[in-house]
Amino acid sequence: MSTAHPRHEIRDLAVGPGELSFEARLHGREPQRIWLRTGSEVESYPEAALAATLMPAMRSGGTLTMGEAISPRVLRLQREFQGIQRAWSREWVFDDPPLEEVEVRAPVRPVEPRQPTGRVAVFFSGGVDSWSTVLGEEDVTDLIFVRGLDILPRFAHQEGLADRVEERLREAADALGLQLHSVETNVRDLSEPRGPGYPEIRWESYYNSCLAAVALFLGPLFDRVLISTGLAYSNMSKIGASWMVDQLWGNESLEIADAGGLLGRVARVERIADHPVVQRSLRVCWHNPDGAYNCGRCRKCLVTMATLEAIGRLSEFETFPPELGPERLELLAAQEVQEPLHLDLIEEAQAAMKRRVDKPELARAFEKLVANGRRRLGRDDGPSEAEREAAATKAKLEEILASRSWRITAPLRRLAARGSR
Amino acid sequence: MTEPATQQIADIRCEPGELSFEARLAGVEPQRIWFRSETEVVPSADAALAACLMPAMRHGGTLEVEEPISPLVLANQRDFQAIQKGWSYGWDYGEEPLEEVEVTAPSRAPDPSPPTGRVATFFSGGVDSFAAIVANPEVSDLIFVRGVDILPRLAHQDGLVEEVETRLREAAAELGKTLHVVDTNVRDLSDPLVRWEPYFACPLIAISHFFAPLFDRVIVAGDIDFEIQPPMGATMLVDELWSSEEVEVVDWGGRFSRERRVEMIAAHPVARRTLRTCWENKGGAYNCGRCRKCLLTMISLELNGALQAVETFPDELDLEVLAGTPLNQPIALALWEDLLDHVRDEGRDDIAPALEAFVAKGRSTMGLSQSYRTRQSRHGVHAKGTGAKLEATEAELETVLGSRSWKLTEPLRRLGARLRARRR
Repeated sequence: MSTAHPRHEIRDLAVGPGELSFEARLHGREPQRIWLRTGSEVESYPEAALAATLMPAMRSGGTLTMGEAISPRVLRLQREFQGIQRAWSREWVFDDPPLEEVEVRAPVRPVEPRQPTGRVAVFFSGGVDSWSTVLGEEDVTDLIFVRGLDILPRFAHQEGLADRVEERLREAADALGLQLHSVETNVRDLSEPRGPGYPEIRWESYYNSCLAAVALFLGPLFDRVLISTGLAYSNMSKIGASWMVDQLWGNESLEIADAGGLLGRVARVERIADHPVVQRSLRVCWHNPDGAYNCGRCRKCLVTMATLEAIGRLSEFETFPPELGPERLELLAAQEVQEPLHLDLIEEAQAAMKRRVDKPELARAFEKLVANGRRRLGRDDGPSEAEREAAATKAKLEEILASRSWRITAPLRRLAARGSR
Repeated sequence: MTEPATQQIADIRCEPGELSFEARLAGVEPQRIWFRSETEVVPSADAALAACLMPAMRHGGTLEVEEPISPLVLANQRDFQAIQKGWSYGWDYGEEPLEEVEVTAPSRAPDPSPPTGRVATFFSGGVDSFAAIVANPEVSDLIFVRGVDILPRLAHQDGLVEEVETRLREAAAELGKTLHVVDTNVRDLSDPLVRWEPYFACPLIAISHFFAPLFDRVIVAGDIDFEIQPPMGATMLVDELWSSEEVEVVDWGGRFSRERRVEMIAAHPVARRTLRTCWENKGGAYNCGRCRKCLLTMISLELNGALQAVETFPDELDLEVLAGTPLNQPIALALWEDLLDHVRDEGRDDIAPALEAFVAKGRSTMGLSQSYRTRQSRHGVHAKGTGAKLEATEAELETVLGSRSWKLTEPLRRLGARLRARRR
């Protein structure tokens, strides 16, 4: 085990029109050239490199040095970002050691107030959350699609998918009269240098850092960039995109904000379900077997389809199978729910559906799915471990007190008690 | 079904050194609420919304504001409300959860004035505000508020506010920072409608907006670190939603535990002459030296070798007082658990037994197992609910198993077991 003080470095940072790249020298790893590219003409904020590198560096703590001058606000608030991530990481269920804080050493640039651009961008994957933000926030002018986060060139089964998704999203953006910026990046190599099976930093906890990096990469174009969160405020979890951490990456000229916490997933689906462009482009699948846009068989597809079915809109969607027949309901009921966050989303969907429709077959599938998930994650309605322990101890005590050998010695105890008085 | 409440912030007056408005909130009579300071600043009307929003959430409905409000504040107050509403379901006060209100107000055209280069922090003389000053050298101004923790209506605090202000003025002068004093009756508005613990950050945010033209940034020092922060009160999640185009509201302190904060300030000469943590102020005392908060601070100072050097506390610890002191709030338990760790780490066997008993009492009072530990980094065990009962049953079982009469009949039980085995 290395006991040396870990040293990380962001070196050779190059910012040109539409491209930012840097060499990430993280402790214990080979140097990696990380890049972000776009067709839009923009000279990036260099703190984009810090947003991408900070959490991977927190895996081992130490110091992180960069030579390029960055925003004073970002340099000040990255300490809070780290404090929060470190505290949260103690509660993550991955069995990884908690993150460690890193001392960031970087010069700051002078603050020069920038004229507002009047433009507001939203990250746009074509999913429920980003669609809900696009349709719910009136001042949105631009959309950002990122290649290299959920669709990765290294996955054979996703070959060609990024192009097809981008094509649909461009059509959607045109139909809405919004400008689409496509960004390509290899930033995920920072969190998974040895491949997705061996993450140094879990994607669930890191993806919003990548979005913050892209927001800062395109930042000079916008006043505000919105990151759509997955959960309502009432259901917030201490991982991934959250107002608590995302807004800390805004600099003196660019606000980075979360959007979506006002609504739960089902309310978001209701908000977008009638929109004809959504019906032509909604995309939720992460599995994409054989390059499928939506496979219609994974947990995320099935829960979305069930929600659409519950509100009577599934058949109008071109990007999903038109029906949720018995076979798919069975599949839905049998899905494995491995993360608390996913169970939260499914329970939210179940509760909302109970209020909205009377579809017993759908309700039954959800009941099974939720029951399995609760059991797996130790949230079943049976006694908790502490309650079981208490009950076992009590039963043992009662067994002893009722035993013949305890009862026949009662006179001795009475005698002893009299003696002690 | 009752009609949705129609609430209003009316007749808002923003004059140099004074903001006042009439709060017409559901469930209480209309009241004139004011914030006053000798500092010549024309306050922002955003302050009125920050002060009234949570009290208005007691009854929901609508809240109309007559004056223009920052577009950023107007956009983000919806998120503030959604978070507070979500949190209020978990508050243990036996009250109905808060309800969202629809805020209607004209939107002000943003006026991006050049930066003033000034940063303020609230300054009560306590551990958190001193730590904020020490950790943020860019702080140029301090704000002391009369009417939040020291109230004119409380007889036992009579005259205390003047003494505190005098000491804080001296401290500010020694630190080379400008002190601004604000007087307010805002608690007349909040106390009938919302609890102080979830609300206390709101008046501070209101005062941040009162001073918006003066400062680039106002720091609100929260009292709990990120790891054990409860969903309530001053936290980064809600405080920073109140930043406007003119002033940034910054929540500070989440990176540091209370023990760490005391360590940060223990050697500071001004803190040693001024530190004030007492909320009970029995007999108008600056620090009573006997309440839970005073003792928490005094023990921590003692561990830092500074108790005798801090002039505002008694030199000696009276640990016997702990026996009669309640410990019934989860967050207070977390702070005492941290202190107990610190005491043990320092090998202070003269203090540890009293603290162990106090923490054990707290856990029992709250129905928690004795293995419960709030802080995950200290291997927190959240075995709620059955803790006290389990402890008692385990103790009884242990007594029975160790008793002479149980041991006496051991041969009989062995014999019985052998006979049963043979029958099988």
